Amino acid sequence: MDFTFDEEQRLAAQSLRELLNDHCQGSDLRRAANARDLPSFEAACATRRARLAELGLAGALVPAEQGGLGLGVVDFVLLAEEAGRAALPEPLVDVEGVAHPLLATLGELGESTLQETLVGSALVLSAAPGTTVLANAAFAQYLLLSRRDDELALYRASDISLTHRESVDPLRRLSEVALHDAKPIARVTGATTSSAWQAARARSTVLNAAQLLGLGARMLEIAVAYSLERKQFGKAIGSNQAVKHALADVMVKLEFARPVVYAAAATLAPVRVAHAAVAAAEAADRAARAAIQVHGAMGYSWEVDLQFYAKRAWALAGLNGGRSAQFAAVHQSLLRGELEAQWA
Amino acid sequence: MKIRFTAAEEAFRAECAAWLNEQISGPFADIRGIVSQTFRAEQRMEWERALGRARWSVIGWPEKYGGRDASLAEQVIFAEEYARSGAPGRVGHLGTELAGPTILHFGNDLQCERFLLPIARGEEFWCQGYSEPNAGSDLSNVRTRARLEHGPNGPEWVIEGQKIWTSLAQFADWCFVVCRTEEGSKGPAGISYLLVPMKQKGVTVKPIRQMTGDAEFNETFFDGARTKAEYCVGKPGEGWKVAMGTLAFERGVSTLAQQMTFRNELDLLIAAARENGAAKDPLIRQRIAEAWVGLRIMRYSALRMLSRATSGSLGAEALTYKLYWATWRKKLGELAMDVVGAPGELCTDEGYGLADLPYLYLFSRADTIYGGTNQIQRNIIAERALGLPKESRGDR
Ligand SMILES: Cc1cc2nc3c(=O)[nH]c(=O)nc-3n(C[C@H](O)[C@H](O)[C@H](O)COP(=O)(O)OP(=O)(O)OC[C@H]3O[C@@H](n4cnc5c(N)ncnc54)[C@H](O)[C@@H]3O)c2cc1C
Repeated sequence: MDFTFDEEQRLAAQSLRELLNDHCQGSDLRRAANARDLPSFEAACATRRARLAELGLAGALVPAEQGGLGLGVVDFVLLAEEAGRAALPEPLVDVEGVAHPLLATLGELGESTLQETLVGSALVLSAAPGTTVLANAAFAQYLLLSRRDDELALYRASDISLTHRESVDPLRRLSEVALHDAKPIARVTGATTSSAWQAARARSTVLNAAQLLGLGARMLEIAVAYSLERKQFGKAIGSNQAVKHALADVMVKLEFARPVVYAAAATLAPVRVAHAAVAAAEAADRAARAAIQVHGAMGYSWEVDLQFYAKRAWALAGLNGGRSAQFAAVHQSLLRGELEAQWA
Repeated sequence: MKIRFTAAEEAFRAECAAWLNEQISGPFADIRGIVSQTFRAEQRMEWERALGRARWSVIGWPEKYGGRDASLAEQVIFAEEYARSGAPGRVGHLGTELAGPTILHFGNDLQCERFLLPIARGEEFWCQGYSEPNAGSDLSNVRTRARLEHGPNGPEWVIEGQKIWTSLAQFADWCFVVCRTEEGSKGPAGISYLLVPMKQKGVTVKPIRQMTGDAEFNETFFDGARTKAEYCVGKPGEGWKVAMGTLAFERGVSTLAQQMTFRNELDLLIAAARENGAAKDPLIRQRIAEAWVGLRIMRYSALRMLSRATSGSLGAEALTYKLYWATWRKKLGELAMDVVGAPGELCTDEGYGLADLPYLYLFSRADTIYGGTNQIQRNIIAERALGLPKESRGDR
């Protein structure tokens, strides 16, 4: 039993944080959010995209023999947290945490595409069966989709009908994905395919939970800073017990959610993943609520960066089935008596 | 104690329901069920005028000021039927619910004669000039100043300063402005309550966009703006009492109308939960039931609170009301999002259009802020109702 991360894991997260400190501040997000169309959105994100590509994270979770770094989800969880902290618009988590390792399961069938996307000359994303809306699909050249749970198919994005949909999170470029009768360039079916999707879902859920932790921590930081700076009744609002306690409660929620997410990342056991999703979403929601409240009317305005983090947290919490589905996963396995085995 | 309505009251119900339904299914069908404060504002101002013409706008007011001298029971009935008909949120509410009752209660005859009928008829719209960049929760820290000047138009107040978060200022003809009229004064002393025309050279309104994408509120700059000396409600320098009085009206009968809106929102949420299957989830069912319980609690409390008010002023329990509803509605917003699930993220159009439930979610983030934050409400309950020591200030 050891909940600490090793040097390499911490350094990777550190360098991502530094990059995002330089290129993913509120002002950078605002520029992208104000972009009128796709090209100006891409222009607003161009520098950051280039720097992210230089970070060498491509194929992080792809086996080394397929050209990846061969890391595990637990090696990626701190990176996802950093992406959340910055409300990163780029699909770093969706690509490296979910789509790339999924593409790798296609083996030889996906080989050439994987090589193309690993070197960064193309982008691949995936939408789990039943998902019809996908963030960042407009930037992708390849999409991993399916009509059923036991099918995994690789398409050229240009063969798929994508309709832009605006999100409440002005930084999430969504597309409605319709397969119609598009022909895949590679396709597999069968039991191993279902488990590939299942693993992809688990990675996506746990890494989104990590992003939620990062978002929560960022909102807490912003709220603390504001409560020191804003004065009412002749003193900093943060000197009022009501404000202190609200912020302290957020910290408690976040600190207690964090090891849950790490444990889920370490094993990907379904019930842990569900638990992580619930705990992280709750902590982020608490952080958003407290941070907005602490800002008063300012926190409700578009002009304050806080809204970017709050809205991202809202969007992410609804994915992968949301709170209801995660709770259902927990109580179903609890009532089946399965939890005993996973108690440790 | 009597909790049923009489036959005469039921007849009144039929009368207002008939009128409302005819209007909302007929000439005003386009504005049915609108919740956003700014959407289709022009048509909704026309709706205010229609309410005024038929004398349904402010039925509790005296007849001579455009009301019907309606009893509390009748006001409750009207509020219920208003919501049931699907009539939109009232863009005139700052006049009908805040400015009007304040003028009626604290104003003199001249002010009542000048201002009440145009409010009742939907001819003049109002906004609330309280908050400033450095005076939010601490309203008594206002810096906006006014001084009396004797010019060609007789004595006038000349106003300098900045207000912020002024809801609906872009549509307003008048603003009730809380400002300092005594040089060097601090805190509640030396504050006056002025009624200031908005459509003049010295007033600039700049929209502030909200989290919902709407720009309902504004920055309002007074730069040598003028109003007649006689448009000061209460004595100059004694406006604090009036300003607090206005806040108390926010807890009056208007709360009943508001509850009906809440009921509509809960109905909407239940319909959505039925449609997408979320209603099968026991956790969701439980929370829906809890929301209903809260709604009933608010209704009985409001009726009890208001029936006391007819025999005098609001009791101490009235202080608890804002905290309760604001917290309730914020939770309703969160439940709404758990019901809607992932599609809640989607806008309905490319102009950041939000469907009703996501809008409710975002808008309800503000409920615990405007009209006094939850923290301030708790301080008020603790200090005024329970008599606990006042919080210390940092500067005095
Ligand atoms: C949608 C909306 C519409 C509005 N419309 C209007 C309008 O039409 N006219 C108008 O004048 N104003 C309007 N307001 C402003 C509103 O009245 C203020 O936002 C409110 O009074 C709080 O002030 P503030 O925003 O400056 O927050 P602050 O006073 O800066 O408060 C920030 C945080 O500190 C906390 N805090 C402050 N003091 C204490 C204390 N002593 N103890 C414990 N906690 C404390 C608050 O609870 C809050 O969480 C509107 C606001 C909103 C959100």
